Amino acid sequence: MLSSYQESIAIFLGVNVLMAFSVYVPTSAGLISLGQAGFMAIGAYTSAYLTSRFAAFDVPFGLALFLGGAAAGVVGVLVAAPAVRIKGIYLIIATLGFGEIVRVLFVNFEPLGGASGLAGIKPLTTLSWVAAICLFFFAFLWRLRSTPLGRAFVAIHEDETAAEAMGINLFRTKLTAFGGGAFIAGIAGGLYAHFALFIDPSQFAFAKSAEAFLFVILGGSINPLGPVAGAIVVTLLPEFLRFLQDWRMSFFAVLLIACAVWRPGGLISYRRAAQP
Amino acid sequence: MRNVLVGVSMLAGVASQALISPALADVQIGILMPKTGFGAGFGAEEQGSIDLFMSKFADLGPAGKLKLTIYDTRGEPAQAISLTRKLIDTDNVLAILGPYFSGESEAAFPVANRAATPIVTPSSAKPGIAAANRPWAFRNASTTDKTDAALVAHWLKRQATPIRKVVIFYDGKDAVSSSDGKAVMPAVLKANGIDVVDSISFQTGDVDFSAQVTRAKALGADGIVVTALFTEAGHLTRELRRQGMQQPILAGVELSLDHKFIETAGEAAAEGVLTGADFNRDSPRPSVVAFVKEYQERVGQLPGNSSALMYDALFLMRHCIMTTGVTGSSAADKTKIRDCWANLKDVDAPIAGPSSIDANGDATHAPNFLVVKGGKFVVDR
Amino acid sequence: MILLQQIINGVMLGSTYALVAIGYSLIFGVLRLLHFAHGEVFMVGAFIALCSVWFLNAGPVLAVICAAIGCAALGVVIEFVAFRPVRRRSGGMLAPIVSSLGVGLLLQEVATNIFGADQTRFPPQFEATVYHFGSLFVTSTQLFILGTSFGLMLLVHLFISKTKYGLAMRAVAENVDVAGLLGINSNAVVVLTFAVASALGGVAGVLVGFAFSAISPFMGISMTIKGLVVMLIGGLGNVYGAMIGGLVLGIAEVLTVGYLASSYRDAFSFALLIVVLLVRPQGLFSGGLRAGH
Repeated sequence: MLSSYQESIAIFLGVNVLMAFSVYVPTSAGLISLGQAGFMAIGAYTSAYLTSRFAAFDVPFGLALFLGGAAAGVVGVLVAAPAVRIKGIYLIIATLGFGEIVRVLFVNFEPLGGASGLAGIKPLTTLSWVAAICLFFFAFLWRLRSTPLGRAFVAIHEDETAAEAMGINLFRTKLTAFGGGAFIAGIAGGLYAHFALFIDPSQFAFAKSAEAFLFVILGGSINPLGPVAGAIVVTLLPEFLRFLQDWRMSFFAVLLIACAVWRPGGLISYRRAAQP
Repeated sequence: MRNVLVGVSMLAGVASQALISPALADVQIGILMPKTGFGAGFGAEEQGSIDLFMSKFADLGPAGKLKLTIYDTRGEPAQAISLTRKLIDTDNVLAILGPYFSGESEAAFPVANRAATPIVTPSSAKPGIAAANRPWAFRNASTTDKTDAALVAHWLKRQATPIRKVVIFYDGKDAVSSSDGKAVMPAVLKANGIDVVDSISFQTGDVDFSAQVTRAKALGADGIVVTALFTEAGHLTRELRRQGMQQPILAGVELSLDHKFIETAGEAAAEGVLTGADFNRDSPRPSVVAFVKEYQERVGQLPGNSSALMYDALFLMRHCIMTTGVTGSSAADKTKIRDCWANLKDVDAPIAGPSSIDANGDATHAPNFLVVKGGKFVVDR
Repeated sequence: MILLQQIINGVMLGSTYALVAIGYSLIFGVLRLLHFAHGEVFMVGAFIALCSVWFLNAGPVLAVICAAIGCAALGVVIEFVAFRPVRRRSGGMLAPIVSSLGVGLLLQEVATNIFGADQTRFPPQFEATVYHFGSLFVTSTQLFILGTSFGLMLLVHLFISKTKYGLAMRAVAENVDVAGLLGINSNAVVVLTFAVASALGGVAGVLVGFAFSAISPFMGISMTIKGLVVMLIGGLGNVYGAMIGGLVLGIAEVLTVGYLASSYRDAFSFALLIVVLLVRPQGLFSGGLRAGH
């Protein structure tokens, strides 16, 4: 069976796969988000509060995870509503800003620990939970591609005007894409919190959003396999590169550049990728 | 044919080694430190002490040899968790020294606690972490709640004119500095009858403090308290003096007595700043003098606060191994080490002197008070 | 009076933001790509200047020139390594983000391995004489920074509007195909753009080193993000917008810190950005390098 160390890596990998999915969903509709760490934080703090601080009653883990995801999803929809008008590059930066704002809010929110963070979270995450949830979302997202909603995402991604002309409600569809991605990120946050047992705002900084974004860009965004591949490569590679010591991250950086040059569509993509 | 001969002789050599040398069990200890990333400077200081210590004390007598397995956490809590598991599960260490930062320690301690492995951080100073992870987690560094009272009392005593109003500057992003500046220091100051006129924050990594200092100037404080890491404290101090604020400055233990504070602030600006620390590089105690000298010879630089803390932690760990008869081969070894740490009383560590661990798992050290004089930290009586 | 002093503080801070943002705007204007390693170019500029002081005994002006030249060269290398091969193979804007993130990380790691992760002391370049105007004060260092920044902004303006090369840049920014038809070598223009933008970023790094007497391999991270924010506030690809946006952000940040708490500072600049985007999605100013965008 897996050693305790390998189990730990596997759980973090699972969380990363979910974060990759959370970027994948809006990306497949043409909405690039560099702020998913903010939703992860909302999910993490909400579920941690419910299981470990909420004195009223014992919230079961599954429910807490779901509520964390739901909270993140609601915020995602609220944030997306005005942002729907913002396009392309502007949206990327605006989502970046959103992620940072969430982080700063948590730094200043003393009831949940502020900068000192929230400790003493119950250790409820297990590999089974993580694996089950990952498989669920993978299957769901795979099937989604052949549903009207999934096809609407692709249509918007390809050409918004044409999609609208075909009767797709741009506003509602974009909101769903964004909210859905946020929901998944919230669940990832809940799983993370109940494994790390201690969370603080610095763990949900821009680096986390950039990392999730990287999973999808590196792995490819034409189907759910891409984010999985990206998450696996980015999470596991630094572990295997430990022998490089001080030059570990430098080597990783060079790999990123090489990947962008030779597989610009991502590891799982068409040979000559049609770009978003 | 020749290859076969080479192979066979190599095999024979290896086999004879195994037959001749009796299997001395090594005592495995794990170390978690930030070797790369933003904490790499601290990691380098710790590595210097590790190298020095191992060159002198790796031999444990009948228990065999001390063997260290060192992993780089990059200062990240998630890495600390995985690597703690790796040390315990895959590398089979008997105990762990580290991690360095409070955030990582908060994440790693529960892991070690549940795996019934002693874990000691040499450096994390945020109150409460060891207490939350009894009985296997310990902390060998002074925490702010213990030292601030003595520090403030000493500061007030040495003032020619009494201090009535103080403005606090704290690093809102660093967990230790922020809890010190927002909770611990104000409580201590109030207990001494001092009015805290304002608490002004900044973030780790800031270099521009013009806004904060301008805001503080109008408050009419006669004393300044800074709880921040040495880099930010240095920039802040320089800006304070540059804008004309000459009030006496008290810097909390987060400064880690790092000489870069004086370099960053400039000797003129840093003159007269009072701080407290576990480590006093210029202490006349023979063991400290020897440590500083040997460290400098070996590493080519003077040891910093982090070096001292790691050295003492290694010393105490070795003390526990040797005095409890740990051999690395018994299942009870971890418990022996844990109990030794839990009951540590007045063991003479080379740098901190008599060291004890209290019921919360925290160390109690007598703080040194140091003031900046002529570009150096000098002991203040 | 305090308010005025805070505004002066803000203008100082903002002028460095402006220099970095101009670089972003130039690159985005011509290439329509985000350069996520520009903050690290800023950092490298500071370290080049440090080396020039250590090894060449350079004074302030020479240090600035060394940084400008060194970073211009670095910018060209980055273009060849991380942007050109990526641009050739795909038309999208995402792959260049990945490669520039990679470059940024690489520069950070190399700088950390060479200089250490802590801040390195930047030897003071001037006797910082303080000038008092009533209860306001400004140091000679700050005046040098302000002077250099505004001087460079003026130079950029003249370059873009008056020289042949600037005209070529604007043509490529407008429409790369038509520019090609008119005989402009767009590849050369791109290289030139990177050189100029990186030189500006490098100079900003040196100025910050002068201002705070300390530099670190991680000083570029927040600058990357802030530069992007300023560029968006000012209007994508609009160089003059970047200049004003930089000053606006500097003042806004200083006022947040002075009157609220520093922990809100980063959030405030993003909130400002989002408000601007919602009210005026094209940024405060439109036009500039690419009129009619």
